Amino acid sequence: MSQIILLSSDNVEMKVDKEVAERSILIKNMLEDVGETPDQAIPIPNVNEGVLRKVIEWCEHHRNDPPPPADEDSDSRKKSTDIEEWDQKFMQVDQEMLFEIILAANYLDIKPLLDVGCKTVANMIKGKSPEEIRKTFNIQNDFTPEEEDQIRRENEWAEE
Amino acid sequence: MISEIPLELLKEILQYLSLKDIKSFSTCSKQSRFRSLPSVFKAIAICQESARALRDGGSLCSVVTTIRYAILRPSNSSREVSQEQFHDLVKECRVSFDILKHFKNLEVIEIADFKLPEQFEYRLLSSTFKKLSTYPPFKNLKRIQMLSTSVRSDFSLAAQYEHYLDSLTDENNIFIKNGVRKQDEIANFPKGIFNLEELSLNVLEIYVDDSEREESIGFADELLASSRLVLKRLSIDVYHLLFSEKKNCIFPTLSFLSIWCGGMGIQDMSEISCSFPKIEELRVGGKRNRVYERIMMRPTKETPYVEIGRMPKLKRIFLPQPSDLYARFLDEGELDKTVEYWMGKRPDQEFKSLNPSPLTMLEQVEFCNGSTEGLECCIIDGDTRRWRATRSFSIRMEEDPTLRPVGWDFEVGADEAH
Repeated sequence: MSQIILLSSDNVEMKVDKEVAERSILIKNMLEDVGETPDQAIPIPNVNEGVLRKVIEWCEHHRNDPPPPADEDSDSRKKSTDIEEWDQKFMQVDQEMLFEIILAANYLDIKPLLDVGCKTVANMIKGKSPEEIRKTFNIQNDFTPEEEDQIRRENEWAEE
Repeated sequence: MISEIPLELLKEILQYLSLKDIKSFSTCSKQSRFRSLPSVFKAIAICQESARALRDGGSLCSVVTTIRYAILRPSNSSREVSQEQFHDLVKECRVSFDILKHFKNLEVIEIADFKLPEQFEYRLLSSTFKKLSTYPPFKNLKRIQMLSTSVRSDFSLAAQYEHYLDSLTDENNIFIKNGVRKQDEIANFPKGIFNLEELSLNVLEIYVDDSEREESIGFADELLASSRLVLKRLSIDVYHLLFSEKKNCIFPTLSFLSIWCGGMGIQDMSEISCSFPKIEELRVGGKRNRVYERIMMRPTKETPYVEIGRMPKLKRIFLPQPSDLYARFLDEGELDKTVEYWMGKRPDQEFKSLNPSPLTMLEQVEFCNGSTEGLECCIIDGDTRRWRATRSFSIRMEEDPTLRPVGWDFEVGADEAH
């Protein structure tokens, strides 16, 4: 099994099975462009060691997943927020890490991981009142009560 | 943190949420409001209040360029409306329509069910459509949808607009797709002149009550008559004067005609004497009325005025049952290029009111030699259930053996033909 080396933004090298790294479409395309397995480390400038390890862990576990169905209707609302058990556990991290993983998945173009991350955040919002959401994400309410009222009124004009 | 992730990722997250949840998130802070606004307002109801808010500026104005769906919803939706209230409503609708023109990327305009007394509703629609027809086209508009309880000639105003008008209710369904018209023609488009390429008049009764009857029929007439020269597809199950009174009317570009039963008054189509030289697909049928006979009528002693030109391009025929072809095509040579007959089977679900004949036997008749001409005659004799043909052809039956025609006799080949 051929391996490649990834270099995190904080200059830590990690050896990964090529197959695992290719869960990232960015890396996969890069390797395809190069044509042969490179000897040097591939720099991943936007992702630090901790996050990269986490992402690789996910890719290891999902190395044999079938490719996601192409061209899923990305516009269709009301997607399921169900997350498989392993992924749920995997996402039990602090919020900073959670958003870092989402950013990394987006940068590395790992759509299924991005989806899991976004679903995790969506589940943190789901069914909550604005006040609860503020608490969850530590958002400062900078509305005056009048402004908040106004927002509520405006929201009534939004339709499904 | 959620306030720092890029906008497109926030959008990804919000797409998993219900509108209610998105609204809650949107109420958290100014920043979350600003960033989630396009997700909250994918569709907007335009009522008196929202129109005013949009007119007066404010945060909502930032969404007018992204909204693709607008619903016009008057604040009053009561059946009891006084003259005064009605004037207010009209005024309100004017404001709404004025606002609407800022929504440059609208794809759908929905006009909610007004639930007004009919005469008010007519005037309201009329006035709103007048307004709409003065606007420059929304370049992405695909549909104008009306959830209205009635159909009337006010639709003609909307039809001037070069996009879709689509009105669906339980009973009345009128669909007009406007044809190609040059931009500069729109401005000076006189009322009641249409150049529709596609027209479906699938209404039980196009008029609402007797007093409206004349006018409504006049409207259908107007639509059909003035579009006749450019009309490509016509579906109709409503009485129409063109078919019954005007003799030898030619539809020079019509390639699809569907007259399937159902419409009130369609029994009045006693003489269909139009000709369709470019017709490619013909769907005719009806339980109560032998519409197909009219369509394929030959000049006879009884009907000497019927003069139907050849239909050399006819490729597909849909009929309720084989016997409907009875003698219609004898010696006519009109079917020289026809390759498909569909019988006993409704071609699609276009019309809800159809009761198809249970006789589903023949799926297709294929001509083996692949010849596109020379089918001199093909008769299905409804009484004796015999096929006769002057050339060899094959018949593909439906798989279901219970559907095999019993007692049919196939005689194939020129020599054997009667």
